[in-house]
Amino acid sequence: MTATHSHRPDGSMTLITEMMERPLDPGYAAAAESRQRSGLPAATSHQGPMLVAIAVLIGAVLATSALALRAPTTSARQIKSALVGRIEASRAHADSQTRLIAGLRDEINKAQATALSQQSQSGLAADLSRLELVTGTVPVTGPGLVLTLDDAPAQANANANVDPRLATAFDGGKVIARDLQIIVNGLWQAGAEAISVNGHRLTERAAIRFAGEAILVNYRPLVRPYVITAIGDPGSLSVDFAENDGGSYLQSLKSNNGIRGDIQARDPVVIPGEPALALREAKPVQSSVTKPVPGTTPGRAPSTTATQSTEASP
Amino acid sequence: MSRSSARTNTPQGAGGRSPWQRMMLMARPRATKANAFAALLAILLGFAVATQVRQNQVVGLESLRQSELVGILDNATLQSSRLDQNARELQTTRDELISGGTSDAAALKSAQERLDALGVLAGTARAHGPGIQMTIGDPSGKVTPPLLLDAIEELRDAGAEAIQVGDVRVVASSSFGQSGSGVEIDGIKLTQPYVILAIGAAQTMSSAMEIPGGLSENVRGLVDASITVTQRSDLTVGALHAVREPRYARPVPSPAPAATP
Amino acid sequence: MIPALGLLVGLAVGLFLHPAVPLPLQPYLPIAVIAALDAVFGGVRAVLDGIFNDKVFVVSFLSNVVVAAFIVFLGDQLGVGSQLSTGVVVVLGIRIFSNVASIRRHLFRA
Repeated sequence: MTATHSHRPDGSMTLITEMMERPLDPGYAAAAESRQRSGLPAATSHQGPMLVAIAVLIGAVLATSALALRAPTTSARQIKSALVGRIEASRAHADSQTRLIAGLRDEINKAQATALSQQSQSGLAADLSRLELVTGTVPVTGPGLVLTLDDAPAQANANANVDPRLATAFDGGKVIARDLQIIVNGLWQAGAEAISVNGHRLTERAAIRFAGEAILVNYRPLVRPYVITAIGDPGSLSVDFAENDGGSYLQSLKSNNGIRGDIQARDPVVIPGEPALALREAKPVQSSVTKPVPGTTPGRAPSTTATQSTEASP
Repeated sequence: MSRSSARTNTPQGAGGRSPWQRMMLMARPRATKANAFAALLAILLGFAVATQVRQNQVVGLESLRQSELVGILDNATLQSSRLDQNARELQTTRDELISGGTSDAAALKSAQERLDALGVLAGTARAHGPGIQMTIGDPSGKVTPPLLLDAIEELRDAGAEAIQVGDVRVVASSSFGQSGSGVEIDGIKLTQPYVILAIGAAQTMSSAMEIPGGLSENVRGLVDASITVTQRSDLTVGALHAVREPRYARPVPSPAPAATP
Repeated sequence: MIPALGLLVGLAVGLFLHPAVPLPLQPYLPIAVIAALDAVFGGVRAVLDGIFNDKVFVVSFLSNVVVAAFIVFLGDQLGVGSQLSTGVVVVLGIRIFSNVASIRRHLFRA
């Protein structure tokens, strides 16, 4: 009910209400009152020497603490940003070269296709396109799934500038290259026909590995989250994966390490190609495609059969 | 009244409109300066929110240590130079094809070469070249599929172009699994000692196997296991892979018109 | 005006001379700064309200800083240092906000 004197119903909140309603030191009001009572003007002059001295002191304190508390750009940090800059530049160059290579490949393929069709070499053309698909040089599409992997939530916000000497405990919640290797292996085992990780097609020459704590696919560092796209039988791919070693490894990662893994069937998915795929040291032994022969003897001694010499690539 | 009720009944505001009507009235666009300024501020706020959310999700290179960054830079530079070389070669090929008046023979030849190279990559063609031969002895059956898988990835990272384990050719889709006490690739059981042949830059691959924490160290840490790595100036990878025709993956149709006969 | 100039002079002196802060005092520096800011804004508001008193200003400034630092120090000794400093920062922050809002009302009538 309404009361007469200062018995506020929210009396228990005086702390908060005081803070919010009376931010000004009541000393000012009290001093002003007493001065007015004794006939002086309410405010004192604000040019007094003591005040100026205090102002200088405050300024000095502010400046000093600003300087002292600012995080210093140590030389280590400068080196790091220089390195990051160079890595970004190198990556940009690699991307533009890849685009250039894709364009060149395209032109070459077109010229070849024209020539082949003119010479009625459709068998050769068909073989070419079939192998291009299988080796991963051209983009493919089809039904499949998308598997998204990410570190355990606590790790995602870890302080970036922690002294590395203090990071002793094994960071179980972080996705490592080995995890990706095993999961991708499981997908192949389950019948995947094409796989890409964060947009990089996995080919016979593409490696998934570590550089320190970053995961690289085909020499390109990956940025979280890790998105694995696979094309395969929509009915059996995810089921077979869940049942094989790769699937159970992923499951144990999720339950024991808190790693986030999420599989979604999708139709269609598009998996890019890797047009820069080429050979450098290896040369084919024969000039024409040989039909796969089961149980071939392993090539131990360097028994090179006579090579119909196709010209070595320039 | 010093007591404020927690919930008043819907107050009819100025003009006797309900709160919803007032909201609709406010939502109507008016061309005033203040409105435009408020819209600008709202856009900035939305942009800031989106940027912050994005920033929070994507972690970049800044969080890595200096030594890791150096390693990544080395890799990136190496890859760049490989791509440069690749691009140069393709440019030469392309120019030969386009410029030559009698380009058909050249096109056929380059198509055949490409087919051969793809054959090596797909595992349907034998290949020869410099490389290494690795023999992993494992009488006690301690070698696991992940270990061999890691070996293959290390080889690939060191530039291996054609790999064979025992009698089985390793291709992109090769998968390793456990088979009894041993390892199998693509369902084919391997027996120890595991003999791995890899064509590529012999010195690079050999060093990659010997780095601290690398394959050799891991194998030697297993009970009774042994590993020897030999560089060879020319070895043959003769095992072939039976290509499984893809049933679900189709090439993305390119917009280019097919060559008219 | 003169005190404002004095503030600028102090800032300049601090920036150029760059005096080293002794290590044991460093953890209390942020709190001291916020307490100082609270006293400064309180003083400005008092000026605008017409009841400024330099003695009160000085006393409030010094006591703010000392009390805030003492609370943080006590918290450190008791093991609740970060919680107490959070509380101090919250209170001082709210007061700064209120004072600045009142200053804004005086100056801009908005």
